[in-house]
Amino acid sequence: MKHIQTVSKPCLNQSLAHGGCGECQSSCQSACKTSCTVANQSCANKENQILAGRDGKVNHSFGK
Amino acid sequence: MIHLFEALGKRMALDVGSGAVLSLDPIAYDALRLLVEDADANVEDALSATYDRAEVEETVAELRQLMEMGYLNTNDDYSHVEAADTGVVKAMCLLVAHDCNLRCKYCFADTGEYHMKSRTMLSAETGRKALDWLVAHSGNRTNLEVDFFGGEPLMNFGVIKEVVAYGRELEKKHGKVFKFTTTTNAVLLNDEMMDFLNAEMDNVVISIDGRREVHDRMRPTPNGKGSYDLIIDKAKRFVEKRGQQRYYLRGTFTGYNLDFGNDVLHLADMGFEQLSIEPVVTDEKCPYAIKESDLPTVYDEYERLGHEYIRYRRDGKWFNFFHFMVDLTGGPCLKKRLTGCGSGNEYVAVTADGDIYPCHQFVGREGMQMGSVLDGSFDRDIQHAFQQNNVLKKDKCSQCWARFYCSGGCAANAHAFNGDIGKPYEMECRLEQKRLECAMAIYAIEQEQQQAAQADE
Repeated sequence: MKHIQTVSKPCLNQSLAHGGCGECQSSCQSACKTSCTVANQSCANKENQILAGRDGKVNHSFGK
Repeated sequence: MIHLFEALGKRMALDVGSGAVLSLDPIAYDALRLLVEDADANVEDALSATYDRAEVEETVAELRQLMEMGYLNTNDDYSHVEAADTGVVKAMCLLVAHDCNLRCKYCFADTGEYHMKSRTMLSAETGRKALDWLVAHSGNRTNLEVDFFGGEPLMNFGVIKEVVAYGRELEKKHGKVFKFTTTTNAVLLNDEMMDFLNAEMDNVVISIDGRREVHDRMRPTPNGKGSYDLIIDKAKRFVEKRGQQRYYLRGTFTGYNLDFGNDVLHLADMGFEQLSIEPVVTDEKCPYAIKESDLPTVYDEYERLGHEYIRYRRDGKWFNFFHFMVDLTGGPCLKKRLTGCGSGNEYVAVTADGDIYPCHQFVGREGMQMGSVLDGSFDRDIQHAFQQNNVLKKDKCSQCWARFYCSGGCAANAHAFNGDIGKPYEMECRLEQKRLECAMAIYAIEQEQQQAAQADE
């Protein structure tokens, strides 16, 4: 497209089909302890990531 | 719902229902703004005075195509989704020391006492009972998290070692995996502790606020001297020994350093790669509070830091800033986004006396004790109330574009400022929204840089 670039494709609805295993980290345990930041957590279930078309990258080293 | 915003010079759109994120040129931004206000708007007529009509028509066709593809204007009603009420607890903040060797002025834990007027240490016996309790309440979850917290946990290092050893025994017996973490001010950190933490801790959080003068002003020792020089070399050595992996330097910024971007960059310049500097949470009457009137300054500072962040990472000085991390394609599933941090439900705090609270922030607050690991009591009604407190149930969040990214915010802050875990704290919301906008813009800019580099090859 000429006027619009896709930065990321739809993903939320897709994750409903495979998510909810509960094995991921509690967000407050990672670094914050005072502010709730959930969307930067990574999915712990690699199988689900693959099923949902995700690449399973470790967010901590993104772009390095 | 579509959220249109500008950050770091980028015009962006987030489609709340699908999670799709788009980067727009000026015509597309203006056209989409009109369509958000009125789906039947005659965009071509409205914008033809400003832009070439053929260009506008082309843009509107692209927007319509994205709507048909499910990238824009998707259904964001997920009220049919139920986060299962399993009763499982999988994470624990274990307060191994209700005492501290620093006297940080903004400490929510009252420098370890948690407003309970006693400085005590966790015993190994109570620590073991806490792990037993966690295993007993963890259902079929494999991964269990235990964060050694305080006060200053390294003041009770011997007990940490005993509890970890006991946890490793439980892993074999029950088929669990303990992911231990420690949050420390690093004052006591020595080689023995470094080696132990590096061998056993899945993550280590070191508290440091940034520049020496900023850090020393808020994080003095009990005799009133600064603590920066006591810890900085230890932190560097520890991180090097750890191979720059699985740690965070975590600091707090206050109304005294609204140029906190310089603190982040100071730590990056010192060679630290995993950074988190967060706004202080306190009453607006506090002299160091971040006030509502400070918000424009703080927003500008996040923007400035965002530009510097991109420059550093592009020019070989890579670092990660916790609040600019956003995993747009591989992040948490929707069910996780509804439930948030899990405090009081999947996540609890346990004091040195074995008392259970919804999280470390709730410790000592009246009416918030949930039970005790010593007698096995656990108030399932409180747990259920926290389980129900998901983002879909919060009135304020139902109208907010950021609801699937912050998941309804911090229940402890909501309780402290509004007396209700379901009513989010406004300052937190506004800062979170700004950080998310910056994070998405950074993501887009770095993606463009990557694509341009690939095209050149």
